[in-house]
Amino acid sequence: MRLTIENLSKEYKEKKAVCGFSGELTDGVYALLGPNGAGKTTLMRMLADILKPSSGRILYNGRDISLMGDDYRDILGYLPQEFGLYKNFTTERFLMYFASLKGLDKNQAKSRVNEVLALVNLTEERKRKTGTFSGGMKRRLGIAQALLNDPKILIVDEPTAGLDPKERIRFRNLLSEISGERIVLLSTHIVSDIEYIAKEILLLKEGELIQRNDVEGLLELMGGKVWKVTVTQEELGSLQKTFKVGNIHRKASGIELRIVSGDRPLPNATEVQPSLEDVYLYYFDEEAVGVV
Amino acid sequence: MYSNECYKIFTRKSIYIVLFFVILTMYYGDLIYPGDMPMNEGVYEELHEAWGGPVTDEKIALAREEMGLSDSGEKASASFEDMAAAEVHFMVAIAGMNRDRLNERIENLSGELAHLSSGSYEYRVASKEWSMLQELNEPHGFFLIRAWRGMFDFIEPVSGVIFLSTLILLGLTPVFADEYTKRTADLILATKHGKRRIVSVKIMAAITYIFVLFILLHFVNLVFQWGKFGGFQGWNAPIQSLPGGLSIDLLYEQSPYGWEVWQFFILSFTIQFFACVAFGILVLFLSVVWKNSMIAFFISGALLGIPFMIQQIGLNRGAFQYVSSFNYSELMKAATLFEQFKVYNVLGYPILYPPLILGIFLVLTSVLTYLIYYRFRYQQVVN
Repeated sequence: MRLTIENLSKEYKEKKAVCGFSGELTDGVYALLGPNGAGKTTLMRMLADILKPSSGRILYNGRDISLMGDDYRDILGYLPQEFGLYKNFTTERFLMYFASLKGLDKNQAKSRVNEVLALVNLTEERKRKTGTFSGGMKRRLGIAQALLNDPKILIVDEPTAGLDPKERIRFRNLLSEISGERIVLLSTHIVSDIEYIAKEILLLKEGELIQRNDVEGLLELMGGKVWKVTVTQEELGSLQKTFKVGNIHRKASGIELRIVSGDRPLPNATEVQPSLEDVYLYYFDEEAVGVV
Repeated sequence: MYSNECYKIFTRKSIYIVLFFVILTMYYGDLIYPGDMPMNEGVYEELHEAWGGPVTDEKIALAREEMGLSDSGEKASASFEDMAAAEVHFMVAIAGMNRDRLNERIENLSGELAHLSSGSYEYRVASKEWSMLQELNEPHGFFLIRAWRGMFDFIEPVSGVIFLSTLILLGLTPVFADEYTKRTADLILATKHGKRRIVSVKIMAAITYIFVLFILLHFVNLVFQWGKFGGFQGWNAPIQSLPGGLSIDLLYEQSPYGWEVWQFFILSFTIQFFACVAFGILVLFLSVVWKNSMIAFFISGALLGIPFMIQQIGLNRGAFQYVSSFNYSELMKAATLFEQFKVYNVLGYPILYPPLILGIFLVLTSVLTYLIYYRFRYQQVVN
């Protein structure tokens, strides 16, 4: 299974949302990491066949997806960042409706609905109207609908937004479990979501792919660039202006800073093991969100 | 998929609230403006035996004699039977006048045909009308037909158009628009059947809604008319004898169409249903284009109402004449298409108004249906 992206671009009137993105994805979990406005959602919409690229093309096993049409969407599961539900539909009706949209026959649909409800822990809520759902439940239902057709390609845009830590871990493990024989592409700006499950991380900035590597590879690239140093309150201000400062930890001995810099920031700074948060800070110049 | 699309439409509470008020208006409207006398009393049966059927010279002479006696006061009486008889005599006399007008028209047309060049458009028009009028088989007379007047009361007047169109607008404007405003379009468009079959299913669900609504309102009207008239006698009378309801004149007295009432009702009923479906398709088109129920509601409403306004303020001249003749509300008032001989010049040939308007809206509806598919299929999710 191979998804090839060839020089993909999307331009709006005044802005290039995605710029010459190329790459090949095979089985496994891929994470799109980037700040807001990096073009993650636009790229995912093009991959989900709901947005036409301005140029470039996407090939699934060598076939252009714009020519595959229904056949491509038959193997696709998609969860957008923002989506709505039919408030007067029960959970079961909602999933049965999407099962029919995905081409499942009634018997297939019933058993598949039971499976995905169990996967997202909504079995008890099957008769409940979706209008009464919390944000987390809504997202879990969205994930369930994306999985209904057992997709070969699963595209999930910020899937863990709104989920509590327990649900987040559950979803992370779920993605890892199901990624065996499918391509899973998820976007996030929460690095802990992908640290342990991503086969590769694609760093996207201002519509361009700036780095692509596995977690170890990315961390290796950061070798000699992450430092720990203890400073005084007076020194803190100037260091924040000069360097990319990650953690600021106040201790009895002073203020312990984690600094990302190509050069040793202070003579007393000691080199430390880099983390994905440092990668984020290094490439995007803003603090990563490192929720559990 | 189909049942769920129907479920989305039929679970809108606003439909039921408006439907309740529509039925209430139909009921009380009939009480407040009862229109013609029902003529369901036994005395009319007896009068029908004596005076019913197509008019003859003998019946006309006798009716005029009776009216003369009544006018001179020689036979004046305030009893219900005498008043009923006077009404029937009047109707027979009117039928006689209509018969004479018809014969006169046929004669005039014969005269015109003798003078016109056989290849001219005018000749074709006169010839068409002449042949249609020739085929009418003694259409004027006295028939007990009042219950059918009530049946047509839901087809002809503008109130029927307003009731049906309001319910269509309420039910159908959200069909596509809500998928965008509720942000479910992204989910749908990324599914296997989310670009083509979904459109077919939504259209089928919309037609189902229109069908249920249409049958329900006509059934309610039928029940009201049954209660009022106690039956539907006169089904095989010619349409030229249909009374005009709230208007004084007979609507179809000069109609060139030689149908019996039941045939005409089925035809009008079918055309009105087609008109509702055509209007429904327009609403769906606006719903998919504007992605907003309110905007689709007001634009559809305007497209329906503006031609009617043009008629009401007397602007139906020049190009406006076509706007006021070829529009959704005229098509929905199906029966009025057949009131008189009306043709349009299409490439030098006179085409009757009813098939022409039907043809135009059939083409328009097909184009709009195609555009709905096209628009939804190539929909881009941007925001």
